[in-house]
Amino acid sequence: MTALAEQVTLVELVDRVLHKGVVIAGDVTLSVAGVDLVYLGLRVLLASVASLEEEW
Amino acid sequence: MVIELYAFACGVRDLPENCGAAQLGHVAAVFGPAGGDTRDDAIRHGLVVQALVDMCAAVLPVRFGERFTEVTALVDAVTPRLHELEDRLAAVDGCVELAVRIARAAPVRSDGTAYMQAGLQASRAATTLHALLQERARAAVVAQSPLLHDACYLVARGDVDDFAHRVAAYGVEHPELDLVCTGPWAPASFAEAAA
Amino acid sequence: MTRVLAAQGEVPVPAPAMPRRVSVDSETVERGLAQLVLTLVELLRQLMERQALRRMDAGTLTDDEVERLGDTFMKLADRMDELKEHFRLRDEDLNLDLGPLGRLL
Repeated sequence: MTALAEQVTLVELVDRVLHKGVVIAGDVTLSVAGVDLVYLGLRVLLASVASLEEEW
Repeated sequence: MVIELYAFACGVRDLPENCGAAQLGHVAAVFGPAGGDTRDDAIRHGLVVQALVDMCAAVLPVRFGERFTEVTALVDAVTPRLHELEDRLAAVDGCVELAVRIARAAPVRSDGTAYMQAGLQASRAATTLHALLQERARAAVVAQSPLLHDACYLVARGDVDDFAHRVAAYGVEHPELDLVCTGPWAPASFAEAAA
Repeated sequence: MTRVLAAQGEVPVPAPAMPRRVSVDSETVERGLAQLVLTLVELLRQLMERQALRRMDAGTLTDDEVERLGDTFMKLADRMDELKEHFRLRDEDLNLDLGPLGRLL
């Protein structure tokens, strides 16, 4: 695999692990480092812009 | 010892290093010692889930960050949802997930109308490809995205190569598209029941 | 093994979910902020373009509107490329450290 293909695969791997999959709600909460909120915030914005789109 | 839940699985032949499994009927809840919250930990989680795909008949990935103080706490949390999990595992049995993303290729910079017409052509081409791919998949999840198309397909293991070739061939016929197909992934997009 | 199975052109990649390390120096903070802002602008541009294409497909845009919208999107895309170039984001935002991957393999 080329270096770029590896990078693409890794970025996608992390994206999937954070945003997809079964959610059980364990009794120990994942604490998200403050810096991650910048990107998680972007994802939330993406979802809300997408629903805005329906109203256009 | 705090444990981290990786995935649910059926037909477990082997487990990755440092992993254990709590058996609930036919369903195995695969766990390991919990790590930290960094990107490296997320990568490790993903790699364990991917390793399970080759070791089990069916895998249902669990999101990163599901932690429990001990196995009994995990069992207590999972038991009420066991029936649903069995159904979801049956739905993905023998299948893997392929991701397909399509964007419009760098357009010819002439005038606004040509730009828009090329965009329309690309948009229609993406819609047609989705229709073609849906026929070869057991299920599909299309994401809301600024891209022309952003979807995941549940594909039988034996159909992966054919699926990938179709995407590649379609791309060759449609130079107005930038596209990528990645996989085979554990079926994380099909882990929760359809909304 | 998970890999890129087919690819053509500029491969669409999901937004990097977790940065590698906390930004502490002002230049890194500035670039991080620039990346966020440009990502958002790019996102909005693509959404608006898709919406415009839908209207065009439905026939609810005049020829003049199509021309002006297309011209605007083109110019915006060019400007975005310039800004990305300025902040050297094209290479760096996908620059991932493969350290732990090496060990795990």
